[in-house]
Amino acid sequence: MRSPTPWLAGVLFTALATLPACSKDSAGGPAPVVDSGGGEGGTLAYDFKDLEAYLFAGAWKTEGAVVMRDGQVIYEKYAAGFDATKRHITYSVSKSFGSALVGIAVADGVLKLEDSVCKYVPGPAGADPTYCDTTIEHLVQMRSGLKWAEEYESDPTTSNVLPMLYGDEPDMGEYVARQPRLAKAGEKWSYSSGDANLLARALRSALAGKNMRAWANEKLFEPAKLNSAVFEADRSGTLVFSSSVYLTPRDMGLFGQLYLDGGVSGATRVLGADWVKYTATPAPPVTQAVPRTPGGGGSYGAAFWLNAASPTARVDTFEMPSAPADMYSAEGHWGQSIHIIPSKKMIVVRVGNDRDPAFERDPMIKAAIAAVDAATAGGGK
Amino acid sequence: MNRRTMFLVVPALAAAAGLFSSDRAGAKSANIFQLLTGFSSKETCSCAFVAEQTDEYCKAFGQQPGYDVVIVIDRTAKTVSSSFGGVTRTAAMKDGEGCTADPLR
Repeated sequence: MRSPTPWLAGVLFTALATLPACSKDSAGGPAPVVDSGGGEGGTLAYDFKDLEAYLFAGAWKTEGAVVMRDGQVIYEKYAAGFDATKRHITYSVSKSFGSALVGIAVADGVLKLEDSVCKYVPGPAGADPTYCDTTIEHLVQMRSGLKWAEEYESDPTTSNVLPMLYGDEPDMGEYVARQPRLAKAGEKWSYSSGDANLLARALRSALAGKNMRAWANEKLFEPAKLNSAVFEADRSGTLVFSSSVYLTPRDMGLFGQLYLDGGVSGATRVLGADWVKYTATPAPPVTQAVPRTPGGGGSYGAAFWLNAASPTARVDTFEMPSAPADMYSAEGHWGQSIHIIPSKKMIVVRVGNDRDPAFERDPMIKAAIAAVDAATAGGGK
Repeated sequence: MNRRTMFLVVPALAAAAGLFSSDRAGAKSANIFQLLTGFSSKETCSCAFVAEQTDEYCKAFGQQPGYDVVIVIDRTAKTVSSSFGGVTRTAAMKDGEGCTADPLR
């Protein structure tokens, strides 16, 4: 898909994997599959053998997968060394967790989408003169217009992500705020881990001295029962929205379920129903469906990938043609993903360590839906 | 030179020269060895202490083919040090907070 895989430090260094004598990859071959006791989904008999063959017998390295329907886990498998209790890296799936936190902050009146980023992160020395034109909404929808090099394969020497994450930046948001402007604020969509971390920095300022991690735990992770979550921060104490939340695949599924349930976890409202709807609404620069090309298609909402740019978009404009138009997803580097499929009441979670080849998600979604459709064909619930 | 070839050659030459300045907007520069060891220390630390994977898995995870980063995982101190090209970066774990890379020295 089109450059979603956000930070890609690995791509920079992994390209050098073509020097075989130096390869440190220890895995080699499909990983053994371990049943971690999943499958609590009612009385229906699901046959996930095609899904499992795709996930675990391919050239990629699936390390865990969870499928939920109607709020119940109906499939769960892990590779050797992984299980239901172990957190997994999520990389850019983290951006969608950051989006949820912003939604909570907006609902609580901590900040407003239309606020200038300058209200919370004043332009540092060297910032573009029009820096303050960027709003909170622009950041959550990846349309700040700030110049940002998210692509690495073409020329890693210009990457902004690597120095932000792995250089010596104590305050990642300020690093982003120093970037020059490429486009007028709000007019151009461009995937940016920088936008995500400037957004995080703005939220931390808006919290006015509260510990951002404690606030996130109180407002999102505890009420949503995402008990395994660990959200790492930069040295300034700002959660790294771009790429640094860790949690178990089951908790990733619960996060997706929170959206399926309109923002409610059990009897607790965590996200506003309006925010859930907003999350899956295309950002203004990407509301026009375009014919799908390799690595293209779909749209983007509030830090979630949308399978279609509109409910009536043609299938050939979808990000994943095998999935319904209403699917939206949190996706991260090296094959991490949470897919939310409202029309099927399904969540699909997959974690892995795919360096080469990259994991193709569409066949996974196709197989998961086929298994559910087959089981429910007789009108089962 | 196609894109992939350029991708292989440019950073290698830059790294060899030790002059890869990665920041175009006024920040302190970080050369590719610093980025490599920064990536390795932080990601290996998170792998070992947040994802709770084995040393073997995490050292492979924090390694980058083509480089031979020396990675030391200290399970007692909950730190990871990664060294390459004369640069050593360390990341430390705090319970409930995960890993953070230390400042460059």
